[in-house]
Formats: sequence, structure tokens, C-alpha cells
Amino acid sequence: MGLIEGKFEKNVLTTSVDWLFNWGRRSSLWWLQFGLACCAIEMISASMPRFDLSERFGMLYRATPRQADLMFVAGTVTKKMAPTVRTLYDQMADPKWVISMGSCANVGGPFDTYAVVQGVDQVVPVDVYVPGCPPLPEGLYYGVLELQNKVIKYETIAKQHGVAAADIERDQDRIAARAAITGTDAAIVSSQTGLSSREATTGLRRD
Amino acid sequence: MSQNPAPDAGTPPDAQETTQLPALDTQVAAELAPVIEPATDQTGVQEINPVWVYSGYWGPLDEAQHPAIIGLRAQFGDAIEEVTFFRDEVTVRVRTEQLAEICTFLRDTPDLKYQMVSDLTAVDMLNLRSEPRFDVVVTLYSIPRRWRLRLKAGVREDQPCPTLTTVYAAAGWLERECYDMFGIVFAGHPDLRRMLLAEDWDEGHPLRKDYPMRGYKQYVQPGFAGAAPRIRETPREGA
Amino acid sequence: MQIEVERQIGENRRELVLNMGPQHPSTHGVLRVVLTLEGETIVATDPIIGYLHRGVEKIGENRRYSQFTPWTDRTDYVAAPLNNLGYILAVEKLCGIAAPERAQYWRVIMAELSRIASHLVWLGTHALDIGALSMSLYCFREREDILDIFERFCGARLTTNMMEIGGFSREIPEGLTDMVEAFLKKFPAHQQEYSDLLTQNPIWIARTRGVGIIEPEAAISYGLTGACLRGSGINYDIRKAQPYLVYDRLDFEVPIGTRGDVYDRYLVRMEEMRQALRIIRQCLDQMPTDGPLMLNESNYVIPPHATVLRTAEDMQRHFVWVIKGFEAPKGEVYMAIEHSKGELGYYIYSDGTNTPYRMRLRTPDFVNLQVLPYMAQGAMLADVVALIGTIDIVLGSVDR
Repeated sequence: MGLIEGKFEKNVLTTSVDWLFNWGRRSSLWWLQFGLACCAIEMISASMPRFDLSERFGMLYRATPRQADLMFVAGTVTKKMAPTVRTLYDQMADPKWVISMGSCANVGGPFDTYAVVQGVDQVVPVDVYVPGCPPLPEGLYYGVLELQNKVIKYETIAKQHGVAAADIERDQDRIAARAAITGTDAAIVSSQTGLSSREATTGLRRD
Repeated sequence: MSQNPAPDAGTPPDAQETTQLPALDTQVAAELAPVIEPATDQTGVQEINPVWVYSGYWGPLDEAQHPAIIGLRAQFGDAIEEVTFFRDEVTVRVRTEQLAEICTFLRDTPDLKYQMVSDLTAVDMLNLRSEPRFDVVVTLYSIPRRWRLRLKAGVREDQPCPTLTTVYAAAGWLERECYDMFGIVFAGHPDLRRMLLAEDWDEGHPLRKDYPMRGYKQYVQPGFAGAAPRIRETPREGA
Repeated sequence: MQIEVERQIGENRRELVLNMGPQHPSTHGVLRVVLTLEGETIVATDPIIGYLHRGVEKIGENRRYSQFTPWTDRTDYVAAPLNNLGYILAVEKLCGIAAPERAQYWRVIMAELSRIASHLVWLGTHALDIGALSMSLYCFREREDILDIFERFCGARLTTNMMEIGGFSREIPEGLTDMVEAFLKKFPAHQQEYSDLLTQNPIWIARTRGVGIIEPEAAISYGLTGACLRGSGINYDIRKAQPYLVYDRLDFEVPIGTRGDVYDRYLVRMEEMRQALRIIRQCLDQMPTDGPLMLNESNYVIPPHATVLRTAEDMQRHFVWVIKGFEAPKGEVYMAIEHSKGELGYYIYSDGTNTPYRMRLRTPDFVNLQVLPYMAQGAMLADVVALIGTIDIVLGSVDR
């Protein structure tokens, strides 16, 4: 993979091959068994017979991060645990994704105290946030399905990496969604001002 | 003890589901002989009074009748500073220097046998009184008598408190937690280091009253440039 | 004051220090155990906890009494109603009130269901660690029935927040009694299934019999409670020794072990599940068919829903109760209940205001986990997972 990764520009041939790779990836996500707190129990329940997260989606839990490509951060990340979370994330091989499960992993949850990191996105980059305290297993399902939608767009052999690429992709999605709802006028306006619609309304800029 | 439908005849008796009465060492069995009197005496259905029923789970609520207090006053005299009763609870304030001897006495006296420590914690009395700052609270339980007892010892900020690890093994971790949360040093503890917070935590002792709930510093992952920004940065210094 | 602790790294070159890190499939959460091994035999163990310390006790000092219940759910998250119960009983003791009779019976039913749910998680993960993988699937399948009952009752599966000061403020949903009865009919057969799979299984016996023996004197000295203590032969169950709610009217037995090894603790917990079914059966039979669920006319208790929406006075009372809280009497209480893992105690020191001055949770796992080095002395490396499983820890409860 290293030989062909990032070498080609986007064209019809590479997108089809990309699609094939991504289809394989999203249909067999192997997740790292990493439950921290209460959300871990719901994560375990989701992989148990009633909800069956593992078998139906081709997901399998691995105990070691070296063999995993998805990390569910399920539970509160404390300051004592945060370096470990980062180490585990670094040990995972690309391509890797992170689902932040539950309010503690999203924003620190009900624990705004001296010992808790207010959100795991201060430690690792997060792809999908699943809200809830704890989220129902059905909610976790929804998060996984959204992640699968994201995985299918992952561009392996065409050149796109990093946070900037994610921003561009998000803007493109937004423009496409607006165009689908209101026609093409909104799409033209957004692309002319150069700001994404969220930034235009809140004035929030991300570097 | 509980009985279940018997398993197949071919199974070894050891592997049966039923659990029999303990075949304890006879000395231990004698010391742990249950109950001098039952805690409650229930026959049939009764009306429940919606006021909390003070049920005598801590012993008689009278200094002159409670065997532990009588024993303590006889043995230790004025190391027993104060006895209070609230609901059905008995609290004895003792002099800190003799805390370990008092606990040893309570544990070993055959009539009392407060052999189990339920809880060992501290309260920071900063907002309520000036000296001493902390109150170390020890809750003991006597299995034969089914009674609890609470001991309180005042500890000043720089004063070490005698350890109870020589008396009860459970005090090991409970005292470590007290040290971690309050900064109370237990003199003679074999392994006093931080437990619930990281061992090199340098921001103080959190459960003190002058420690802000949100703490002093935010966590910053070194080398991670993509930390998601928060819309409202709540101030942390002394919040 | 800095404490210098000298730790001697073994000069014996045959010793190996192994780190069972905070991320490990068998440590039931974020527990780290540093093992010093000589070959396969364990020489010393140092459990390091605190990876889930969230400052719940500090939060308790800043929240009103009626607000704090959700944080108690999240300490021991596999048996949330029992945590709620301990807290609510402590507050009721402090205020000097008690819930009406029907509410007490429902509290016992929910507490016992929660005990069964907690033991199912224990059994599933304990067996999974030792190697019986299918047990976890079965146990979680049964647990789903209990979680359905909780969801019907209070809206949440896991973090239930179901107990309230003074009883229950809403009427029991219809169909709930039928759900509980259906569970009582279905569960004994399933439990017999688990028992058939494990109890006389030679592999299970070989891995658990004689492992992790705790002597009775050591068990008492370490302050163990729950199945860890009863497995060693000491008869101490708070439901019998210091009964609360309606346990003094119910007829049930407390299983006691003989040897104090992992197998005995397994038998004790299995039997506790059966006794819990018996308790629920008696509660459903003995419960008064009608009667209030919430204490009336007390300023410690939320005003009833119907009059809040209809009378101005109760609406004002409701507003004040929710926004400002009530001022608890000055004093301190320690209330202990029999949690599925041992003695769960809440020590509340109140200074007469609407927030506690000190809220202390004495969790059973924290005290029970201390016995791990004692049990692991001289054991084999493969036994460590069995030992951690048999203490039955939930790290939220250990670290709070």
C-alpha cells in the first residue's frame, strides 16, 4: 500500500479502486476493546446477542491496538488515563478512526472536575461523536453507520490527508446538502464568500 | 443454609451446588459466635411508620449503658473527649495520639470485638472551625454484636495522625486515599503514596475546601495540534 | 510534605516486573496491576487504581441533596439502582423520614433485580476471563430482560436514577408487575443452565478450586464484605444483621462458603441470585395493593405531581424544592446497605445547609480490591485474572 498511497490524483480509476478498498474497510472494522466506564457496559451489551454489533457488521474486537482500526472511547477520560489513550491511538496503524461514545468522551460529561479531561478530542482526533449517557446500543449503531459512511469516502491512493482535508470535505458535504434542499443559489453564495456556512453565522474560525 | 435439588447421584459430593455450614477453625468459630441478641424481632406484618425508625444498630444511645463507652472511659479516661448521639448513631471524639491504642482495645476486648473497619475517611472542617483543621473519622463494626461505632480524631494541618495499619489491614488503602485527597500524613504507614490521582500530581489535595472543583490546570496533550476548540473557555484559575 | 517511598527493584535477577496495563481485556476496566514474577509464580502485586477517578465526592459537596443521585449511578454502573438506594436511604436517615410501605417493597424489588443484573455481569466477565466465552453471551442475554424492566420503570437501562427521597413520585407503570412475574418465571431455568455449564465442570473446578484462598481472620482484617467475606465463612449480610427497608419481613437465606477460594465465592454469588428471586417473589405477594408511593407533607420531599399543576401553593413549594433545595438537619449519618459487591456505605456530614458538607461513598470494591496482593502471593500468573474477577470490581466504584 505504501507504494501507491498518495501518488495518484483523483480520477475515475482511482475512485473505483478506492471504493473497493473502502468497502472492504468499512465492512470489517476491527475495534479496539477499550471501555473506560459506564459506556463500556453498553458497548459490551451492543456486541452481545440482542444487539449483535460484532457479527452483523463484520466487526471484531481485538485486545491489542496494533490489530485494530477503530477505537471506541467509551467512558470518561481522566487526566491520569489520557496519556494512555494517546499511546493506544498512536499504536494503531493507519487508516484508523475514533468514535467518541457518550457524553464523558464527547465533552467531559457530568464530570467537570479537577481530574477529568473535558472531552477525548483534546487528546485524539475524533471522527464520530455519539451522544448519550450512556447512549443506547441503537445509538451506538447509528454512530457506527455514520462512520461507515465516512469510511467509504476515505481516499487512499489519491492525495488527501489531515485536518484541512477533513474541513474541505465537510464544506463540500454542506454545499451539496444545501443545494439539494434549496437549489443552487445557496451553493453559489457559500462558495463565493469563501466561508463555510457555520463560520459565517457564528464567526468561529478554526485554524 | 440453602438447599437445592440434588444433582445426579454420580457426581462427587464436593462438587455439589449446596454450601454447608463453615467448618472453621474452632478457635475462630468460637470468637465469631454469632449474635448476642438479634437486631430486630419481627413476626408478621407490621405498620411502617413513615418516620425513620431508630433501630439500635449502634448500641444503646446512653453513655452510661453503652458497653464500648464504658470500657473506653474505664481504660483511657480523658482521652475520650466527647460522645454524641444523632439518630441512632454513636460518635466518640478521641485524642489523636491514642487512636491506635483505642482501636486495638476495641478490637481485642472479648465483649466488644469491633474487628472490622467499615470506613476511614476525613472531613475538612475549614469552614466550620479553625483548629484543628481535619477530622479523621473511623467507623468500626462488630460482627458478634452487630453494632457500629464512629471515632473522630482532630488533626491539625501539619500534624501526622497515627496509622491504623497495625490494627486493621483495611486501613492501608483507606489511609492512602485520605493522604491523597486531604494531605493528612499517617505516621508509620508502610506505603504512603498517591492512589486515586497520578503519583506525580503536583496540584495539591483535591478534597480540601479551598481547592476549586474544576482544578487548576487543563489537560494539554503534548504534541497534539488538532485539539478541538471549545466555544466557551471556562476560566480555571481559582474557579 | 513529600513522602519518600523507597521501592527496591529486585536485585534478584530472576524477577520480572510485568505490567498488566490499564488497557487490558481482563481487568474489568482501567485497572493496572504491576506484577513481580519469578518465572510463573507471583512474588508481589501492586494494583494501581485511579484511572477513573472523577471527583464524585467533590461534586457531592457542591450539589443539593436531590441533585446528587445521578452521580451515584455512575460509580457502580452495573448495579445503579442499588447505588441510588444507598444514597437515598442515607439522606432519609439524615432527615429522619422513611418512605411509605408500597414504595419500600418496590425499592426492594428493584434492588434485588439490580443485584441479579450485577451478578450476571460478574458471571459473564469472570467466566469470559477464565475462558468460558459463551457464558458472557448468555448472561448478557438475561441481563437484557432486567434492563427492559428498568427501562419500563424509569426510562433508562443503565444509569437509572430511579430512587427518590421519600418514595417514588410517579405511579408504577402498568404492565410492570407482569414483566417482573415473567422474569421470575423465566430466569430459574436459565440459571440452571449456567450452573450446569460451570459448577461441575472439571476445567472450571481446576481453575477455581483452591485458588485465591482468603483466611477468615484476614478477610475480617481487610474489611472485606459481600461474597468475598461470606465465601470465607463469616456470616455478615447487612440485610440480616442491620435490616433496612422491609428485609426484616422477608424470609431468605444467606449462603456461606467454606474454604474461601474462588469456587466458593462463585457458589455464594450463584446462590445469592436464587435468593434474590425468592425475595422478589415474596415482595410481589406481600405488597399492599394500594397505598401511597410518596411521603406526603414533608419539606424534604418533592410535592406530588397532581397538586403541583393545580394549586399555587404546591407549585411554589415545588419550585423552591427544585431550585433551592431543602435544608437538611445538622449532623452526620453513615448508612450502609448490602450492595451486590459488599457493604456500600454513604457518610454524609451535613452542616445544616442545602448541600452536604462532606459526601463520602464507602464503596465495597475499593476495600475489597486491597486483598488482591494477599491472594496473589504465591499464585501463578494465569490465576491473576481469576483473582481479579472473583473480587468483582467495577472501576467506577473503586475510583469514584
